[in-house]
Amino acid sequence: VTPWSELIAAALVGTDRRPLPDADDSAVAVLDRAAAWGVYRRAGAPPVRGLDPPRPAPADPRPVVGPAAAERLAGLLAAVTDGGGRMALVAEWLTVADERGWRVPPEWLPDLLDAGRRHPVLRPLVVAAGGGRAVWLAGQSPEWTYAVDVPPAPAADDRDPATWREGTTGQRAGHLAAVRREDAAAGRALLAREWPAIGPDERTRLLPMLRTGLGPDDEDFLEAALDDRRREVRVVAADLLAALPGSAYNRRMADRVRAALRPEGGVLTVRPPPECDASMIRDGIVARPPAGVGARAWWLEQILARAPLDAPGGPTPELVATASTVDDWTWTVHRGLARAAAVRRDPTWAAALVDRLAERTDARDRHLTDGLYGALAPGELAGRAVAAATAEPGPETLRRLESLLAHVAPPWPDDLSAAVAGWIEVAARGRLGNRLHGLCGLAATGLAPRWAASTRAMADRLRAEAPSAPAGFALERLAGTLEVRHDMIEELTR
Amino acid sequence: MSGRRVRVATVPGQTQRWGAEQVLALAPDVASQRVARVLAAPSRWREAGRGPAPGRSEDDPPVLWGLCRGGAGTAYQTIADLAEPAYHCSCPSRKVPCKHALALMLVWSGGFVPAAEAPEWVTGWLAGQQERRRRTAARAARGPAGAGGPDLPPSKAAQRRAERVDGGVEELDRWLSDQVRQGLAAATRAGYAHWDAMAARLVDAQAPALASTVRRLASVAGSPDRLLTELSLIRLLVAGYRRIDEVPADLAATIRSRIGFPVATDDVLAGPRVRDRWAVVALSETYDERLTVRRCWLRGTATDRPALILTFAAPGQSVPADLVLGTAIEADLCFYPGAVPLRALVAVRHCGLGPCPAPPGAVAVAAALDSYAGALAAEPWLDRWPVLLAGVTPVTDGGGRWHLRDEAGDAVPVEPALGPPWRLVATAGGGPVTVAGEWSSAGLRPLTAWTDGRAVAL
Repeated sequence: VTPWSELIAAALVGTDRRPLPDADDSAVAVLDRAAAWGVYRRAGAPPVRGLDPPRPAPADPRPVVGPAAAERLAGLLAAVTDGGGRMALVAEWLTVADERGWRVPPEWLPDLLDAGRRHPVLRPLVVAAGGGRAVWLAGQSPEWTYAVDVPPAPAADDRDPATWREGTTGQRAGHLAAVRREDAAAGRALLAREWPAIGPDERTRLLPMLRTGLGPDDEDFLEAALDDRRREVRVVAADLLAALPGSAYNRRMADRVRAALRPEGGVLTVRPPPECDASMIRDGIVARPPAGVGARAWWLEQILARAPLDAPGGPTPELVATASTVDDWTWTVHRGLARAAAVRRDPTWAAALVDRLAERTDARDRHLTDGLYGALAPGELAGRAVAAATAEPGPETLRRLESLLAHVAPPWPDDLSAAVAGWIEVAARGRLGNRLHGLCGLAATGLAPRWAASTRAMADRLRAEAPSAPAGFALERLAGTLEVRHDMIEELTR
Repeated sequence: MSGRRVRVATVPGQTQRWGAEQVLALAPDVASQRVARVLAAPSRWREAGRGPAPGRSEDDPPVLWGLCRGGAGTAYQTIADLAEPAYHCSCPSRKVPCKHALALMLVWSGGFVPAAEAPEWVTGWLAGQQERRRRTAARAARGPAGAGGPDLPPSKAAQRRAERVDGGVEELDRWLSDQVRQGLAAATRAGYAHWDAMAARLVDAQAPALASTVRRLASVAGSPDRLLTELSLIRLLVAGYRRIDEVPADLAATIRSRIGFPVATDDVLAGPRVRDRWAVVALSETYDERLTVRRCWLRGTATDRPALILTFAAPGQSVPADLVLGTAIEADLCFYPGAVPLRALVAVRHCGLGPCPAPPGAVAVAAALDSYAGALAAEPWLDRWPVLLAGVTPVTDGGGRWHLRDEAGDAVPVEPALGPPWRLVATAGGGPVTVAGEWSSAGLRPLTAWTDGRAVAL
């Protein structure tokens, strides 16, 4: 019998050059003998031996969801892959399934882990509803390591000193954050040792990692970084120092505020800094104002935005909310304080300022108002949303309502849900009819699913009254989404 | 093995309702599924009822009917005979089943369709259906009309075709020898055009199956080992075709089908019938030369015999999906002739779909490989062999190659081109499961796993 290796060798170079010694027609002989070998090799392939059984997944006593719920999840996941529009529904499905003690059908765990890779908000939900098996599965592919890390345990190679020596800047940043989580001083020492040797780009990427485990011991290092030659490094250092209570930086800023604002007898006297001196520039104040803004107003706004809000001798929320002086500086003061309240997420200051800011129509003020909504206490926020939803429908109310509702965590309280539903119905009949998609989109996740029936009735009423009303489509979509959510929860209840 | 059979048995005298997923699997497309869910609100349906189909028992899946509220005060009359299954609806949709029939089945699946006396519009349709089935059965019993028997001289057209095929096969044989004579080293670097040129000549020679085989060589051309094997098997087919009058009839039928001679459906249906309760163990879809091919693997629960039902659809069209994974049908199958008959047609359905939580007849890895060797001995060109593996666990070999390992420690590789079989890994959770799949020289393509009494499509 001609060995297979000899047949392959002959066939590769060609039998013209390498004929078989024992055949008349070497080409035909190679093919005929290869056929016998081929069938023999396929039919006789032995089983693979010597593989160890795998580590089994931890047992999960929870029952698997019913077929209808599983089918729903499959449909939602397909939609996530298509465009991500239904990600919120996947999140809700996972939340409800976990709350009611169900287990995800195991065959969908790979798709869920993939979805979590693209949408970080899903990650804790995937791990919770997927249980031990999700974590077990995630441990087998590098793409899913986030799921293994969700209970904060940094990946092993993050803490490998070799990563710090040889890694890319991103890997070094990850290593630094991992070290800071465990031992802030050791992390700072690591960075300080390298600091003179690394370039400005890497400094800009590494310095923000000190936010992990930030403490008073970091102040000297950060204070020194304020003298860095690269502006981006100085900005990071200033931001970190501002986030450090009681830092000398914060004291300097508070002094500047006291020099500029005098609360006297219920009136706020404003004296903006006459010049932008070297110490202000060192602390991150930008000297050159943007077009259309006065230089002194610009400096004052920045000082207020960076100063601590609770410094003794400074303005109080009560004073700012009630102060009657409206001179040229009022808006500057409000803007500066609003920036500080948004960055520091201070609900008291946010509440004191938000209504004054919301009156303004300037794009910059709108952006600030949005930031203040995010800093409000949930009750304050919902109360303001209810107030907006009882106002006369108009483009301005619509805008304010959208911006408020984007910050209210679902499910919305009952009074807010009722007010928004009512507002939508009135607005749908009016001239706002073709501009309700955004608001309906917010309501689709904000309204509790039991609003499905009344929303459907609303959509039907509108269809009957005005079949071509532009709001009809938005309303039907809203009703459809609520119905899906309603059914989805029903399926997980049985 | 006996333990598994007990779980399969259904409770007598009690019709099992289907799950929503089983109903939705019948939908012709995703859009229908979506609309059907909306229409499946019980409040949309009036006078809905269920009852046994004429000539069938209480154990069989029932006939459902109801009036579905449409737009503008109209109502559609909808009937679904689940035993067949067959559907009727007065709506204008041409999809089968339409969204109303799907919705009606979903309502029933939810337990909202009561037993009732069928109204006249239902009994009338059922009688018509029965009559149609009787006529079809009578036609089938008469045998294939107009087909020449084996004793009659072949028609002129058939003779012309045979001459063309002979010419094509001779050319192919010379081409095969040339490849080996000039060396495969050149062929391994050749692009698709090299293989497509020969394939096109075989299409002209009316040997379409042979043409596809040659075209597929492009995918193995990178590996001299696989390329030589595939070329040699084609050469074996050519040699077999030359001696077609001397080989046994079954093998001759295999050779003819591998060349691409068509087999008339009527001829297949005129052949012997195999009655069994056929479990639907695996479904797969491939896209082959501008066609969607749906492969449905059945396994006889009594005969332990595999069968393959092929359905085809043009792109954009859905493949009729009347065989649902995880169910079984009581039916007569007619197999296409061949040395290892696998492909079959459903000749008669005695009873519609019933649930079948786990198929019997799963075996260990060694026995599955033995069955493949046996099949290959009879049919050396066999490319896909259905296997049903008992108690296998997905494992990696450390190099990222996945295998299925049974409790005796024997393992088979998973087809590497498929990537890691994550769904199977997740479903098994590191423990043994029953797996159905297609075995080929490239490895195993896992298609179905059974866990917690559920069939999971992979």
